[in-house]
Amino acid sequence: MISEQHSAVSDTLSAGEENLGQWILHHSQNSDVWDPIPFPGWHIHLPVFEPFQLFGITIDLSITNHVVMLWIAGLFVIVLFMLTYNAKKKIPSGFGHILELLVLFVRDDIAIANMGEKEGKKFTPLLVTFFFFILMANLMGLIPAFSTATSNINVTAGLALITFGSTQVYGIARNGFIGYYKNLVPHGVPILLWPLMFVIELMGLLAKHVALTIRLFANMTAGHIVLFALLGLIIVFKTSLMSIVSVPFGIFVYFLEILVAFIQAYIFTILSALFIGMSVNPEH
Amino acid sequence: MLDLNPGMILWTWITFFAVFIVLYLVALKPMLTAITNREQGIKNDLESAQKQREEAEAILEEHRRLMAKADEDGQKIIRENQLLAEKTKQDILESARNESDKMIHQAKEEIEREKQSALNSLRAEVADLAINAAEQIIMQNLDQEKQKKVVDEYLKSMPKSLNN
Repeated sequence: MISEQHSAVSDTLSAGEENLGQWILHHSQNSDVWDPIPFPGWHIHLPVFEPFQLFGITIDLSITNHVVMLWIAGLFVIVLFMLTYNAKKKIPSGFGHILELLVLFVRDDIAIANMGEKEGKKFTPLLVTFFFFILMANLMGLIPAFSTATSNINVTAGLALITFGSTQVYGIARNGFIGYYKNLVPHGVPILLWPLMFVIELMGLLAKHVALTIRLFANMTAGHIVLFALLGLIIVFKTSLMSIVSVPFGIFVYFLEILVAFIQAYIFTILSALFIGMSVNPEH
Repeated sequence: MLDLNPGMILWTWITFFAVFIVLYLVALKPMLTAITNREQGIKNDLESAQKQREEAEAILEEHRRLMAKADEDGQKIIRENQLLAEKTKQDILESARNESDKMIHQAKEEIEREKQSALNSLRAEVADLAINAAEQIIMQNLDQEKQKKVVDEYLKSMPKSLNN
């Protein structure tokens, strides 16, 4: 098994004439090929579209590896809910009960706790979708032949922009355009400091969502890099004895990754709830 | 690794919103409705249970009150009847005593009267007997004066011997 991996990896290395760092990056980066079977030469080439210009931005709608992973994650979430939750049953049983427990947790302890009763119930579906979608995308990187879409900064940026959009749209809808941006500045600030404070708060608003993006992206990327680096030690030291250290550590990091996948999905959801709650109810 | 790719962001949005809408329609809407309905049902059940309990307690209280009242009434009736019975008993005893006294008195009077009449008739009888005896004596030609004296003496001695 180890020698198989070894040969597979050295094949990849010799074929691509890459060094170890590039090899690790290759595995966590987006690409237009998907190799469901971890052998060299077994690739599925995904469709590549010609980038086009829109409002001066180059948009490349090629269906890449991570797009496929997102689709699979989304599909898996939908199928999971459809198969295990039966709305006709008054009290759910089995896995449907676990799902309901999680949905209830998101509703009561994330949405209502951070937004209040009325807004919390309104935003529960969005937050539940955030949680399960991100969780699935995170966990998929731990399954061979799949990769983590959330280790692509564009995906996490897209998700964080949904949160950002929600905060702006609902904050303005609730407090009015002027009222919302006026509430960005904390109460009790002297009038002379208002322009300065407004700029600082605006930057803080953006920084919060950039942090949301980077946090998920960095956590998901780091775990995979550590995992690959540990296994890469076998190549670096050019001896299979290294696997005595690398494989147990790799397994440990793998389980840590499962934990991190849950924690990051939870953190993303709770921070989204917090940000939306803060913009909708600025007094709190 | 950190280069931004608007196409990827667009794909993220498309995928996420597709998943969101489908998930909402397929699972989340019925699930959240079911949860809300169940919570409402439990709340209603609890409220109605509380209400029923309060009602039951009020009824129990009312029953206790009624029972206490009935008990009191019963005691009162028993006391009244005891008093009445005692009075009736006294009355009956009184009247019986009076009646018996009267009867004894009557009987005594009757006896007295009977005795008197018996004495009278006895006296008449004795007088007749004496007259007959006197006639017998007269018939035997005894001295009238002497005989009469003898008879009178005899008669006088009679009541003494029949002294009541």
